[in-house]
Amino acid sequence: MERLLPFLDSVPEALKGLLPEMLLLGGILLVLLIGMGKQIRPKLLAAVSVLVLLGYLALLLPVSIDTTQAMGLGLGVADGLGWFLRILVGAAALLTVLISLSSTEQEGSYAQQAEYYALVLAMCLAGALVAVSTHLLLLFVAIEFLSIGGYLLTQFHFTAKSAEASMKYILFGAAVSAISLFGISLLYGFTGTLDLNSYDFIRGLLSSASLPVLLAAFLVIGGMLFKMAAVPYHFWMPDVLSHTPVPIAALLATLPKLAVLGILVRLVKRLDDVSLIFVDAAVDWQAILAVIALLTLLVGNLAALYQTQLKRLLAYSSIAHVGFLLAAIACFSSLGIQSLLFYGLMYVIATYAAFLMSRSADTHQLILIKDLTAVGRTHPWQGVLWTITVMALIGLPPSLGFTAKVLVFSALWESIQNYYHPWLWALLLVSIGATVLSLFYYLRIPYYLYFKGPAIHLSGNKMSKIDIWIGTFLCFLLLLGFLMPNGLLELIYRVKFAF
Amino acid sequence: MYQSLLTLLFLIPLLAALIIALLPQSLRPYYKIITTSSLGFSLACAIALLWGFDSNAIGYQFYEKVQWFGLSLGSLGKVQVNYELGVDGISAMLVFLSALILLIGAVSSWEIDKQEKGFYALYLLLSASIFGCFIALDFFLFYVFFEFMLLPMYFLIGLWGGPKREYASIKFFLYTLAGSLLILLVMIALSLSVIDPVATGQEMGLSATEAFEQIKNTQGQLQKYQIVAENQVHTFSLLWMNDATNFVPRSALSMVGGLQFWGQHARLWAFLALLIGFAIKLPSVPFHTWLPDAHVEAPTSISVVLAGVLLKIGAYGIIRFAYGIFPEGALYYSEWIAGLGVLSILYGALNALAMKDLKKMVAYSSVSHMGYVLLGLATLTIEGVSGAVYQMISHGFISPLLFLLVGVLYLRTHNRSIEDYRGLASRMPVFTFFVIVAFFASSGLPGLAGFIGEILIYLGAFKSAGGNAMVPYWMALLATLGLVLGAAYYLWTLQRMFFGAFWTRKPEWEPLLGKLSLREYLMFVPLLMGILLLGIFPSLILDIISTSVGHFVESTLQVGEENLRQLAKFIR
Repeated sequence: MERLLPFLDSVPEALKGLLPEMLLLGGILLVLLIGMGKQIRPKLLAAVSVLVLLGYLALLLPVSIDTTQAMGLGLGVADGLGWFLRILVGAAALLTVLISLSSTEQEGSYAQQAEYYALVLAMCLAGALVAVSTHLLLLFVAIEFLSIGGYLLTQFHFTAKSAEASMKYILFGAAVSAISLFGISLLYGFTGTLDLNSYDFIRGLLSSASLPVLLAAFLVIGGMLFKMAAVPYHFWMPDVLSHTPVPIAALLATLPKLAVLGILVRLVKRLDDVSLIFVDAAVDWQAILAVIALLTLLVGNLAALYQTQLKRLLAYSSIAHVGFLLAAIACFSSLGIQSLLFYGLMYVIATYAAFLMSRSADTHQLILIKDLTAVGRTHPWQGVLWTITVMALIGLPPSLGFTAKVLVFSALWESIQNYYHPWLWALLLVSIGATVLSLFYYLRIPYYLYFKGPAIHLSGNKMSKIDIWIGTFLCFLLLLGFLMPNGLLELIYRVKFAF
Repeated sequence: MYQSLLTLLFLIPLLAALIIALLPQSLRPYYKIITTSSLGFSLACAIALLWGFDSNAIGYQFYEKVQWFGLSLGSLGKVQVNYELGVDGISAMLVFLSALILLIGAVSSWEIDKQEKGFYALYLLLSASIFGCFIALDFFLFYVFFEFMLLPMYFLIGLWGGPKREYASIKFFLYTLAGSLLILLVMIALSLSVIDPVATGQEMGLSATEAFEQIKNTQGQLQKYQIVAENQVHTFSLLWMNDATNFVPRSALSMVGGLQFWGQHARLWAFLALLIGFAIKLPSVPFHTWLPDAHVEAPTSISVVLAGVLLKIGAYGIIRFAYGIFPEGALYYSEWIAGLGVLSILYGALNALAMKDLKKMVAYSSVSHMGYVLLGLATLTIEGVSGAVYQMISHGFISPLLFLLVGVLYLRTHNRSIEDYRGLASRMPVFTFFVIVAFFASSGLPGLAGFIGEILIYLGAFKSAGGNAMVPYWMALLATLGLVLGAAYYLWTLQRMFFGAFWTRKPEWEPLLGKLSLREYLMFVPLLMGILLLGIFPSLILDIISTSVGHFVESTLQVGEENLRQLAKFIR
């Protein structure tokens, strides 16, 4: 009891840093309570969710990003990296709620249900926890939390196909979770602690044989690569995205990926530090990451070439973008981290814009690219928004996508200059080639929008006013970010992260 | 008055594009007027530019610089991107050419009758980015304009083009993007290697004026490893990239201890990457296959701009970036560059000889003429480089006229096959007169524009073969075959299409082949005057470019040799 009391005393202090997340928790309960009423009040549910998420972001804003301090009883860390990812995760959830407001008939009635909003908030909460965790226990719990939310959300078309996609996701996910839990237990066996920050952890790693450590680390990192949909853990992504409503697809394409970026950076950095000290059998983590990034780029881009469904195409394109994110991590430099964050931000905006704009073709649940035929001519503004989005996805100026790509390439060049690493060189060349390759499938969108004709759906599409406004806002951000990146770059530069 | 002339130059079309995009459909008749008048205003700016240009001064004039954004790299210093504009003689001339051709292209596009709004807005965006390319002094800014050109072109060819337009537009996009990514690679490596000595001086605590005096001092310290990375301000500015002492030692592209790949120094690879990137745009054989497709499918006005201006950006890029930044590459690979040039001249001409489509024939003649530019540049003699620039300008007058003339025929009959017409001279004498002048000018008849450029290039090639040995004799000799072939395909076409008894494949075309319209005269006459003027008074252009060309040749040779000698220590 004597030992417990001071511990209990420290709990409120420890939870203070997690105040935004507490708000989310309250929001989840509130949404569920509202849902228990007899009447279905989708507008109220959405409003509450939006308010909660805005509150979450508002509470995060004053948090200092220049310092790093442990929080949540040493399970996590409040640093700039975590802060940035929490913001991105919150923004993604907010956008999802906003674009669910005007879900079309074809997408189904998911947005009527309290569970849906609760799950979106829960995904945000889980993502935020993953982003700040430095303790493998919290990491595992939060990732599972994230996964379960994802499994459930995949179901929200309530069709046999979406059940199938969800089942694939669950089976694959469960297996990967088990494997990564096994990896965590191995690490615990080697070090006697799960706290990545603790001295014991490093000492334990140093005093154990390198091969088992490598194996264990592989297993743990596999779990994160699964969430990011990096090769070879990418199979779930296209199926899941093509069978879920647009807002959920966008959420699943962005939120989990961003959430695990932080811990991936921390873990790989720690392992690399350790492996530098291993003289006998040093593990080249940079090469491993570079190869994974390279494969992800190739697989994502090559597979995207053969898609006829728009959401499947976007799924493979998002796999390709993960390749760029991993490439930024593989640089192992501060410029690499900066470009990672910049790219992550661009990725969220462009992905949401793309998924949102896919509604301009929304005629059935599986959106085909050819459904876009002549939309650019019948609805010029939607065509313009699509074009800006595609420019950002390809990485053409004047869009944020260009700046993001230039930053990643710069980080790669700088690392090549510092490390003379042949795999980084290969990665740079492949990422250049992948950009050319991506042109083939991205250009298919403007091709159908403008070049093909005549329009197949003369009645036009049913993109609502609010969707157009959100799309316009996102595209405006994509252009503005290119023209005035100064503030963003300064912010990202100030982002410090623990070890 | 002249302070922000360059900004004005590209801002006007940009604003006009915005205005057209915002105007309602009911004001459709005004689109073409807005487009034409805004480009007319740009032409006025370009004329003011030439008027105020001091042709005796070395260096960039009408200089503008504003900081755009900076990227902190922490312990590695920072990278600064500037909005930096300026022109020398070569680019001033090219700006004038672009303004004129874009205006004529705008007049020519009055015949567009579907989706005018999109067409004119995209055309103006294209114009703005073309101007931007020629006036940007910051590599990043240049690249932005260079890349941004792709999307308007893609839509302009793909939406308003001929039957195979989709294929042609995507081919154009892919080729150019592949090339520009090579350029991007080099650009990024450069920005990580080059510092801005003035800004670095300021970072080290010197005041702005002091720092300016101490550029040499700063550079010296840099080369002695005395500037810590934290203080280095990296730059994309061309002004500093030209000087090897601004390269951080042991960085990827520095002379001292730069990277090596497959036994070759990274600077030489970077030169090759830039050369290929811009040679795709030029285009030179074997990267040329996008051009005939793009030309054949593009609407007339876009063909005019493509041939008249866009191709010159490739040549300009080689001069300014490939040669300017890596002069040793220009020396090291001179024979290869000349070889590519000769290959383009001959292969382009032979292809033109074999074409049945008049527009394709003209397109291949462009490939052939751009080969001359490469050959002229490779010689690194005053004559050769002046000739190359002259060829760029004269081709910028002749090829638009050729495409417009083809457009005359196509507009009337929707057919361009050479073998479907005979004896056109008897029905369309004025048209035939313009064709004959354009053909002769293009094949290099003395007294017309094409002659001066070509003769200067041959002079340069032979002088180089006997002097600085950049181009071997046999290449110079082989290249003269290009003159014969050029005369052959033009004369043969003239004979087949225009002389003899009048005949057309379909009798219903006969009444269509009538007089030229006023608008057509408006486009042809200025170009014709230009061709005559340039042919008779070459000094009009040579005066403006001579100082810049002289400086360019001298510094390329001098710095290139010096660099090559240093690199030889590092090359096995």
